[in-house]
Amino acid sequence: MRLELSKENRDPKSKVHSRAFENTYGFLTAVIPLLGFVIFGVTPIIISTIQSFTNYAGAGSPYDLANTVFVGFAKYSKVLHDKVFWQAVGTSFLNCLVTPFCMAFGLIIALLVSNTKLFGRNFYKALFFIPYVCSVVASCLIWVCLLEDGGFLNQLFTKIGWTWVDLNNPKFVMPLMIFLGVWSGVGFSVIMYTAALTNTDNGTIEAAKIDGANKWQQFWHVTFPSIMPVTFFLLVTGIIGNLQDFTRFSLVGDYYKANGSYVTMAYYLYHYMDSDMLDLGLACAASWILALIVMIVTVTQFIVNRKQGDTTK
Amino acid sequence: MRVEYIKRDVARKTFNTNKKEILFSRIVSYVVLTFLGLIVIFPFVMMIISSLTVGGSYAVGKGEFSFIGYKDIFTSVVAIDTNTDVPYLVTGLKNTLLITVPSTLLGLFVSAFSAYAFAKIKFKGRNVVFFIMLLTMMIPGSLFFVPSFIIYSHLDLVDTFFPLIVPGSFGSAMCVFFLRQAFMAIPDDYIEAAKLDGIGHFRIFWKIVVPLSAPALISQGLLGFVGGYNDYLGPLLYLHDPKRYTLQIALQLIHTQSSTGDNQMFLAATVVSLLPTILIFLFAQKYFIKGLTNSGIK
Repeated sequence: MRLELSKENRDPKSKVHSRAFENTYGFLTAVIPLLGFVIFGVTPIIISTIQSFTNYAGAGSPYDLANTVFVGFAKYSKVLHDKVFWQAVGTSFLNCLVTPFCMAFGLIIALLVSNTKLFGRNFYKALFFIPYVCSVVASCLIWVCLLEDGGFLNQLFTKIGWTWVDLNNPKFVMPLMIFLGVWSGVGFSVIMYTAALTNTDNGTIEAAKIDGANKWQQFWHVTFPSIMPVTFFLLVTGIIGNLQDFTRFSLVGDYYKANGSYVTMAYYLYHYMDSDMLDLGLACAASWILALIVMIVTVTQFIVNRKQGDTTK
Repeated sequence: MRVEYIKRDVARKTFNTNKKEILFSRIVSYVVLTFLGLIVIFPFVMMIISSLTVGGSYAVGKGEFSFIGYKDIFTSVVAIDTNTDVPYLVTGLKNTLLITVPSTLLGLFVSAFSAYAFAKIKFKGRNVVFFIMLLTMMIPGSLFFVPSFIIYSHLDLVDTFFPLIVPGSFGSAMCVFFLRQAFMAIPDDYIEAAKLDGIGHFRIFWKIVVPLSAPALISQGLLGFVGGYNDYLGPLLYLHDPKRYTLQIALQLIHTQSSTGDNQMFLAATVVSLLPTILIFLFAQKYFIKGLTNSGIK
């Protein structure tokens, strides 16, 4: 009754909530964050698209299109013919290995700490989450202090004959960067999986137990499918983040260190914003290529996920 | 009844093996968790030990114990902006708070009000607008940073806090998404009752929805604050004047400037810079975890 009343606006006091008013007010309120995106997101994208087809290097106004020289796909082809860029693509894709490692360790830890009878489970949960609230600058540089020439761990490893532990050794770079990524990112997976596991239906697991399913079967056929959405979420967001990562790389190494092993795709384009290599048109072109790669990978994941969902149905 | 009987039967049969199994799995759990936990905590322990050792991480076990590193942050030449005589860490902390606090609060407020509209106002095109907002989250962030830099540098906004405060104050799609989920849990009856009393949306939002979903708001606020506090890329792109450096940039600067062979002062600075976030996390742990798990991804 009350609901109907308010719908028909019979109450004179509730004129403030007329249909038309709700439509405008709701829309205007809801749209503010999108407005922010249009101003601070769409404008840059337009500028980026235009500038990626020009020989714009950084001097002069980017809006002065009358005096802009369009060079077609020249910048794109320069990026695509650059050996350093392709090495960077490889590095970025290798860096995506962080995601499955984070997910695997996150799931293992979450399964262990979700055992309610385990003493000190909250302590462990908090412990694994601490690196997640630490800044990337602090966590990377602490490890650098330990691993660089003369650092505590470096001395230790040299003593036992592991001379390859060297920030300048290209073979050491990727394992180290992946380790650092997993070290700081695993807490997020732990939290997400712990939440998912507490939400799983215990009844189904009990039923599976009675049917004689062993632990492994319980996990594989009951628990794992029920946490699939979180797995997918972690996979997609993780891959998006790791494909575009570069702060970790720029903090531990630099552009020229270890034969360019530290250069990721995002690092490559950032390099062309730097004063000595300034070429903003090229940086725009490179950022479009990077964005397209990321979007293709993301859409592929969604398609594969949809298809798998169909087959399991 | 029958299920209970079968359960008991199964329990009896497997009782002995269960006891051993449980003990064994408990031991394995502790071994695995402790081993992984040690890897996580090791660098922090080393950081604290090194920051108290003369010579830093190069001299652990050999160097003398000393608090000098913590004193050096405020006195050493490499840690002080020579133009203003203010330690980088102090300038950094001040600037970080000047940027992070307003942008987090404003952003949270805008996101929350927008989330309220999505959750509780039935306006035309609600689903379309929400879908578009979700789509914007899929656009890779690296597409923005070159052109944004171009625009800001031509508007003379580089070396101001504008690029770091204003865009964030419009809220974020992710935050709207999380908060909408929290607001939808509030019964519609409350809103309808308030509407009948002639109360406007803003007051409904402020007096009813905000108090009822305080935990969700606090958790989003904390995550936003920590994100801003730890941000490195933004200040790196837009702040080049030492007077405007944020804490993370200051930390990186102290690292590059401190002499090779002694990183005691740098590690002391790192300890100081990490204290606020780790303390906030330890005291507000449940909010952090709630903020991430209230996502509705089940």
